Amino acid sequence: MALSSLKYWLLCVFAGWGLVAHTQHTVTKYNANMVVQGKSLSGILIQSSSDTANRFVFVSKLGLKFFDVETKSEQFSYTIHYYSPAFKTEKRVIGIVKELFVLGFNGEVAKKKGASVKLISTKEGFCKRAFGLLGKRVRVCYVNDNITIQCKFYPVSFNLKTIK
Amino acid sequence: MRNLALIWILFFPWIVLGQNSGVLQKIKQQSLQIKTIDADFVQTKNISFIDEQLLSNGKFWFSRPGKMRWEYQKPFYYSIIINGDNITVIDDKKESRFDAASNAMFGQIKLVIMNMVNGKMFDDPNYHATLKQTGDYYVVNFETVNAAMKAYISSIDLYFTKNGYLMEKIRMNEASGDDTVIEFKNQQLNKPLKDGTFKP
Repeated sequence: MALSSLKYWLLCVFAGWGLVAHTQHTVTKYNANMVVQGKSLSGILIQSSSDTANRFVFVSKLGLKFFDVETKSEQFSYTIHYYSPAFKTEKRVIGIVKELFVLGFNGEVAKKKGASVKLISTKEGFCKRAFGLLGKRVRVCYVNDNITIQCKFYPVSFNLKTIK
Repeated sequence: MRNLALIWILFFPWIVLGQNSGVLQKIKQQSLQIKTIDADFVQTKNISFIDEQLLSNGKFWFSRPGKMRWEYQKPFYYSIIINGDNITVIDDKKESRFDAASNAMFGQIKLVIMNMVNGKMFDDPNYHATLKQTGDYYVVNFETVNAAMKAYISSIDLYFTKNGYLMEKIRMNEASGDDTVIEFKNQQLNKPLKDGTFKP
């Protein structure tokens, strides 16, 4: 009886530990500048990554939220949790943003979905040039702590600098 | 005895209402007496699904009737300078100028920030004000009535000290459950500000 209780207890402990380990998130913060059709939005991009998903929240420096999108790590699926009414007239931007982030932060998923991702080394760092899901081009460059994501088929781009 | 209890039950809400409107009046009067503010601030952004908070801090200056400088210094440099209808934003080293009258977003930001500080928020028909008390503070909750504004912020709480009616904290509540808290420290009121405070 005592042994069975111990087994049950150990099972609970390991299951609980597994659950905690599974849901552990890594948070990365970027000083971010988003340019949409020539208009610049400055803020902080927060990336919360777990084994299963990447969640991106973009807030203004004053604290107001612009958008909150989540992309899955293993497959090309996403959830738009929130977008500001400022984007209501341009809903397409949010759709493009989640594609940019999949290509920028999880090229493997993009490849699985048929995007061709090509790595190009430059003097300063390296770039990923990707032909996205609709055969359209996206360029992501990593130089030190800076990431630039440029969409070639729509006037949207991001400049990200890691906040330490 | 029963009659006394009945009278108390009937009149208690009106007594509280009377006290509340008296406190609100005093807060408003105190806000209107502020000519200048020089303060430090700490901003905390709470996002419901992550434990980590987003912290930033900087300096805040205000001069009645229409000048304000809100300057984030760490972990980034970002400054909003309002001088009448002229708004200058300095993002790192990049300077941009806007006209509050023609730029809807910055016009709205200017209106909300200035009204919070200069006491005009109490008369703003876009908000419904209610008073509550917590510890050392009177908390005025401004619930957003305007549907378009509610999509951004559901309510704003302003925390005023019970001794002196000084605003020490702002909490902006979003419909999603996230909030932004701004705490003012080392506040100096009605002292002359340096020349050039409101110049880029």
